[in-house]
Amino acid sequence: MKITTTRRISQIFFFTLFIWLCIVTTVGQKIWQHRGWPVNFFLNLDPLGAIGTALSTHKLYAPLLWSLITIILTILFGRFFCGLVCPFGALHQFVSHLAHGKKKAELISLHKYHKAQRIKYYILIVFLIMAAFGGSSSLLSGLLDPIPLFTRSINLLILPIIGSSAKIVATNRFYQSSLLTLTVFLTFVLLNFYKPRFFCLFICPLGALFGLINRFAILRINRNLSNCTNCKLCNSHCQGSCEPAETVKLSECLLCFNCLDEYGFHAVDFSMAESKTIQVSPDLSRRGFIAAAFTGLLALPALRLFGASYKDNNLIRPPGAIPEKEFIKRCLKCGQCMRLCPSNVIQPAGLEAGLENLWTPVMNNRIGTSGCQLNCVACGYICPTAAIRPLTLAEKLGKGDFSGKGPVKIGTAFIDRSKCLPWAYGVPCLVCQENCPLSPKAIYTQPNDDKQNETALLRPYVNPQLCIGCGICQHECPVGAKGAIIVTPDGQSRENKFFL
Amino acid sequence: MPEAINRNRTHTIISYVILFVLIIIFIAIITKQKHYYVPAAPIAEKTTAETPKTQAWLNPQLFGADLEPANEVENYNAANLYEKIDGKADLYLENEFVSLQCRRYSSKQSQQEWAEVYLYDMAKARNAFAVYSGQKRSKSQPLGWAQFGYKTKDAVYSASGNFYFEIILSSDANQLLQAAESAARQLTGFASKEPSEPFAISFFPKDNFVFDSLKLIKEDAFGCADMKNIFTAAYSVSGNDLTVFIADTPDSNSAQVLFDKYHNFLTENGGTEPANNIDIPGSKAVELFGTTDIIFRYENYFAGVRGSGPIGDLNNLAVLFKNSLADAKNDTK
Amino acid sequence: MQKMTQNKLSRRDFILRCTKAGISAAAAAAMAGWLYEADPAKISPQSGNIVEAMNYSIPPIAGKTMSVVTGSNRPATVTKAIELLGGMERFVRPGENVLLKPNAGFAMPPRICATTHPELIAQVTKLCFQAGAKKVFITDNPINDPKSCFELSQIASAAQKNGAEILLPRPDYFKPITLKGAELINNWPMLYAPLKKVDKVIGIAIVKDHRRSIASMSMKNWYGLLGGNRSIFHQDINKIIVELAMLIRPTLVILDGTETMISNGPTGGSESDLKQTDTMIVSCDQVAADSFGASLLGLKPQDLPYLVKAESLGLGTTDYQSLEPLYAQSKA
Repeated sequence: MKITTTRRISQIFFFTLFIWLCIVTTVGQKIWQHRGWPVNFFLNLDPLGAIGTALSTHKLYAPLLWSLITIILTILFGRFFCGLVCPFGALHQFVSHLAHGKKKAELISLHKYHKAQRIKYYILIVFLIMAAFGGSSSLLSGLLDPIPLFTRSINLLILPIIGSSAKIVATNRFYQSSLLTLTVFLTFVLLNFYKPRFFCLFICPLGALFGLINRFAILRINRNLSNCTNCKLCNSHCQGSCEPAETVKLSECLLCFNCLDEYGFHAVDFSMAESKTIQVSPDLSRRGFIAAAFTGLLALPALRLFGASYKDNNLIRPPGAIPEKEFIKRCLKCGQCMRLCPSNVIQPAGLEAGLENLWTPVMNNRIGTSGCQLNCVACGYICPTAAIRPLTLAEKLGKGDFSGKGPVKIGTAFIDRSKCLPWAYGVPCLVCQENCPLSPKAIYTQPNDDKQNETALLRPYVNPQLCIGCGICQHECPVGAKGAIIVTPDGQSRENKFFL
Repeated sequence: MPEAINRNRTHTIISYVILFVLIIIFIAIITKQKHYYVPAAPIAEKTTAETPKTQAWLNPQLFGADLEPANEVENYNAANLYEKIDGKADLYLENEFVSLQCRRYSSKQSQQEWAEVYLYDMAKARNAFAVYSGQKRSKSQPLGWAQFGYKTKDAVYSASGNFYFEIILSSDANQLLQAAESAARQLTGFASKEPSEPFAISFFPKDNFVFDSLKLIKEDAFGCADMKNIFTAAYSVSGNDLTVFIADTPDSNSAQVLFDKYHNFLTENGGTEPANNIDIPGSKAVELFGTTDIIFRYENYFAGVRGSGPIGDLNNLAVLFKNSLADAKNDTK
Repeated sequence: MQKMTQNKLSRRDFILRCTKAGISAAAAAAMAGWLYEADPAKISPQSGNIVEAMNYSIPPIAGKTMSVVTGSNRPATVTKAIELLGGMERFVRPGENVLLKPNAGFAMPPRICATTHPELIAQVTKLCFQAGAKKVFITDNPINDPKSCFELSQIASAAQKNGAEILLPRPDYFKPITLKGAELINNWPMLYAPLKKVDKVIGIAIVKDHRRSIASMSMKNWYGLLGGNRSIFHQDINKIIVELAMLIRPTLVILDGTETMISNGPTGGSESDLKQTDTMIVSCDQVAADSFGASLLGLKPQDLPYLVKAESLGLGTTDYQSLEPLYAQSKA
């Protein structure tokens, strides 16, 4: 059986699995809902997330241990993940296949190695340095790491679009910052028209990581010089542009096996053979390495210069989020929490709080079906790196074992009396008070003092000691724009600081 | 070529190994998806240790043969009442609410046809009456057989003893309404067997009483700020509408204080006191803007009759009322 | 046959390759095992820095706790006052590092008396060095821009002329601190680094009228060690002042009542806000010092809730008479 056939089967299998796992990431127990599906399968296998969080937090969160399998298998056999598993890679390979003709000469020049393939190593170095950056490091690998990137593109873009246009879902999902997500995704997909598997060759930091550790691979692609007729046809379908016809660049070899079985000359093989025609190390120059390191050191402080980073944070995070300084060291920006959230209130942040916070989860109470539901703790259970940690309901509500500690607060609601209907216009309304899910409610009412009204107009007040910032009130408020009762991140319990 | 065959074999072996791994992964995932964590149900507050006996009233036979229970009885206490009825909970909580039992009954033929019973234990008869009269629906018809009860097109509301109950229906089908009424009768039967303290209304005279005109005015009754929690009933005497009212207070002194306050309110606003012979010691009559009030105090009750009819009628009604009070009080002693 | 063996890996190379691969794999596994953590709560560092009181005080001597010297010459009055309590040698040992905490809150000139007078800073610095101090540091986290505050108040030049080092409140000097038993100082950034560097802490405050806390004297002076969005504590100003006094037990406080700001405090702005009261108070008990200082503003200790509360917590006494303060006059 040809290995390429197996490779294709494997790609189709993992691609389908990936899409399926994205689809089922919704709360529920039916077969097409979450139940026990291991929806973080690919994120857990992704060693870049594991290494990134290990560098930034000096700890490896348990589920990420699965990535050790990927690392060990890569050390032993090479970049199998890129060629057989990675769903993003599979997508690129498929698009490339459709995008380009079949003329051999064209293909050979198309798949030539290009020096710019070094860039992905520099990108990897920049990310790793930013993650290792001492006490105030930040994990930005999620921006370009293919698994989080593809996950959020499917979760926040493709599935919502399909869901609403094909009328499959009961309530349409909405996600802000969609233009950015679309641009990034589409750009990489369309770049395959220029060069096959453009992302994999030039950008992918995960591929770069694999390229650095596969140098001791026991089995490898190699060219048998005595059989070889130098026809260069093995280059024509090389996905990694690693040029098996000349010196195989092992660090670029994606194990697509296209070079193997093509033409019956049997000059290229995947075996333990020694070969004088293999270049093991990636093509990094010392200068390039230093430049990348320097960029990494400079980038993080540069990103924080405009002050809207974790210190002056204006972001409301989901309940269970860890303190901001630690959060930014762990969030992979994968979008799983946003996909799972049953009320669609967790949204990807845009650039308003800097590049560090791009695509991280924030609450936008005006989008979705309601604010944060009181009895829901879904987001913490799905976060692959515990940036949002799993809460028990008892802890979230401050009951049972957690009775003394009070509920988890993600913010506090403030009534804008210049907009609130009873306050500003003397018009009765009390939607916020009615919908406050707490018992006793955090919004109370008092009649206004104007005795000239026959029926006293009730006006809402917020009790900041009780308010947990769930945002249901803000969602229901009939006043437009941001509403007349607005939740701010003040008083959130994760920061454990005095507020009111 | 032997190498070729070796190669092919090697490739085939590698292929099968990879396929084998894929199958293992597939099986593992399919197995895993069956086991999942369900975040615990909302932390149940410790409700009353024993199941309330009222739970037994919502038995499967409540609606006879037409409907059968569609779920188990749901229990709510003061802490989680909001979860069931949201904003309306305030009304009950302000009136010494104890517990709520709910159950839905649906038709055997169609799940779409159902009746949901809400049975509120309000601790005291006066509280049950308070929540009953506090949310009287318009376009309703009195249930002829109940002391406090009315029905609308798709619901039945009634208070009996310490209990207030509502039966809400999925549609205005006549059959459903009839079934609901018979269920209401049963519930009334259960409720009336429970010990229940009679409150002010029990003392209203029966003659000429306008059916279902009982009201509880929470505050500012008859325009007077001090008049709070006044029970009133309408009477029709010789074509005139008279109102009988009563307030119960903790003791005789408080009743006297209220009596004086109301009396002052009437006279200060320009009321005149016509001469009146009435066989109730300490009673006063005041006429203001065409309405005459005859007010008196009996033990810890402050009561009276008011209206625009001949003073003789008012007097008679007042005496009747006071006697009725005295009898009831004597009975309970 | 020959064709095949040309490419085949020698046994030695094969073993070498396997070993290298094996070692890398093992190293990766070992790293993973070392860093492995199953409990998500343990992955981030605990919000720690729980401290008990930072105690810089010295053993008390009865009758030598508080001294009050009248006079209009600050260097003279403060020298006399410290002498009465045993001289600076009692408080500062040779080789020790001392932190002076003045009120440098505003970028205003000394004549406004919103900030600690530079002459006072200069004299106290001199006394510290005379007693053998190795280093004298001066720090504050002012309200206006730090550099401008220290310059315009002339505290910077007083320091420079006498060998004291100004520690401007750099971001890395702050650390989130939780004071045991406190409600407000909970995971709050404090100007921690200067406090850790020194052996003795001397607070040098002025007597000022203050809208929110009624008076700003030696206890309120420690507000300048708070970082973050500290304006939020104005909601419960008395509690934060008391908690600050729980946190910092200074060696000595110097309360300058030479020119008291009696109106429009704490910024003042005009010389008409000042009253010449010519009093210098030096005390080991900051509650007592402030109780005396209150009288310069025409107030009783009971008018200041934080004093009453501090006393009830055992942080000092409002009945300064019981300390038998030493009085003197300075004619200089």
